[in-house]
Amino acid sequence: MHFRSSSEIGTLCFLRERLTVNENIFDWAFALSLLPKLLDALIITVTATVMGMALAMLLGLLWAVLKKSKQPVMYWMATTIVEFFRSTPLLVQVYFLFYVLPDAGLRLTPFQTGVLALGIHYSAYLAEVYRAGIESVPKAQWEAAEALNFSKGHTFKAIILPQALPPIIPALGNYLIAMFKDTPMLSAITVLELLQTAKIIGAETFRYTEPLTLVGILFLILSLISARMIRFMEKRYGY
Amino acid sequence: MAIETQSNRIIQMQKVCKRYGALTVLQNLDIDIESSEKVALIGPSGSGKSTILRILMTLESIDSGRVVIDGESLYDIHEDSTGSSVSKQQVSRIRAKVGMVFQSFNLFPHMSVLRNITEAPIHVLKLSREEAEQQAVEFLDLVGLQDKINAYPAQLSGGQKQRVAIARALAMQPKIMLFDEITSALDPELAAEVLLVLKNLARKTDRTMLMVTHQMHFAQEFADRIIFMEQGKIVEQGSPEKIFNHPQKERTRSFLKTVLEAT
Ligand SMILES: Nc1ncnc2c1ncn2[C@@H]1O[C@H](COP(=O)(O)OP(=O)(O)O)[C@@H](O)[C@H]1O
Ligand SMILES: [Mg+2]
Repeated sequence: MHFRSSSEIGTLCFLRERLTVNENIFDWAFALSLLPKLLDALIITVTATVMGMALAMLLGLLWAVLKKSKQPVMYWMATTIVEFFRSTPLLVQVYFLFYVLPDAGLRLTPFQTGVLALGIHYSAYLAEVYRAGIESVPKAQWEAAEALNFSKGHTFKAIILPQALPPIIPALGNYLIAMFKDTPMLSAITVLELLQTAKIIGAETFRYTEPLTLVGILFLILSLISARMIRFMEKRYGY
Repeated sequence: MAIETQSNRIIQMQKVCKRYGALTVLQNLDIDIESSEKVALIGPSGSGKSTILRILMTLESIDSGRVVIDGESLYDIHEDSTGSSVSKQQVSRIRAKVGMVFQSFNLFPHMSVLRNITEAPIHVLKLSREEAEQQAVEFLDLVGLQDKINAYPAQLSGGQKQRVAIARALAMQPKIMLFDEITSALDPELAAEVLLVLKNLARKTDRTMLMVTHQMHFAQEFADRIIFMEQGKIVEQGSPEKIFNHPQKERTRSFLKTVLEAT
């Protein structure tokens, strides 16, 4: 039997202290105190998602229309863009835009860069979704519009698109939620979204359990709400 | 470009050839139709009847031949594929003279009956909304569907859908109306209501009408002239009396026999 050295005793005391802390593994008061900061970050995350999705929906539609173009240059361009953005990781695109755009003379805030990256990346997937929606509209609808002498543009806008959108609402919704869950990638370029904020709190307080748990819960709640809204829209806009 | 016509021929098709790959659908087809004439096109399935209507509606191009609609050249293509092609604006101008009703109605399912009818007059003819709606009510009256003005296509029977489709085509005020087997997808009673509308229409307007039909009794009542065709060629044509009561060709006789037995 050896007597424990004082340093060993010190270590033991420290461990006991850790254990007592760990008995109370989730400190509710501490978690509550973090909420305002995390909700601010949540607003940034949601804003990035909404703006990114809006951009992705516009660009995706553009690619889908260009891919239907009879002009080979347009078709080739859209196809290449879509392939490129789909086959490279989002994180690489985020870094690329962050470091390369300023060199190209385009100064954007990290937030703007992040929205741009999300929008471009997801537009490549949405192009496919739009294509499927447009192809689900019977050819006879194009012909009926042609027989009524509608222009191509008006046919697309007033006849085809309104019929192509309702069936793709679920797919659009899935990509919206996927994009929402991809927003932590923006922490790589210092955007103060939810995860980045939680990490900073953790680094400052040496407590990661509460902030990270809250981040998970907030993501869960918002994903569930989004899924509900998508199902509502599906019902509302089907005919 | 205006072309001098000696008579009041509104449709001229000369030596029209149409192929899908190796399949020749129309072979040196000649059809002339007078202004305000009512013509019924009959013949076995696959003989090229729909193709003729689709060419006149500018939904389909031709490989060679000449097509003139209301004095305007749509195609003039020689057999070696050289010849004139028309500009987008010319196609649009010619298209404005022609209206078509399809076998499968092809109403716009996301638009109310009223909007189905007013959309083209507003956006193509540039009528004001009030004018277009007033006119739509008149045409709905004509096809007996005023009470369905705010319904959606999914809420209508097949016969009602087809009557809306007729009103929609009429609202563009075309000089020529094309009907492609418009009662084939309908039950007999529903077909009867559509045919009644068509008969009234034929009596009331001096529009030129070209219809593809399998309803021989209707063709007999409706048409000034019957064209019987098979495999992309006209076999025989003439007045209903001549075609139905005194057909000259053996093929016409056997076709009529099978069709009349079937109904
Ligand atoms: N888009 C197409 N591609 C290939 N073949 C076609 C096409 N449209 C029609 N056809 C063929 O052309 C022939 C004539 O068709 P159609 O004009 O529809 O005949 P009908 O209306 O007299 O039944 C048929 O053999 C049909 O299969
Ligand atoms: Mg047919």
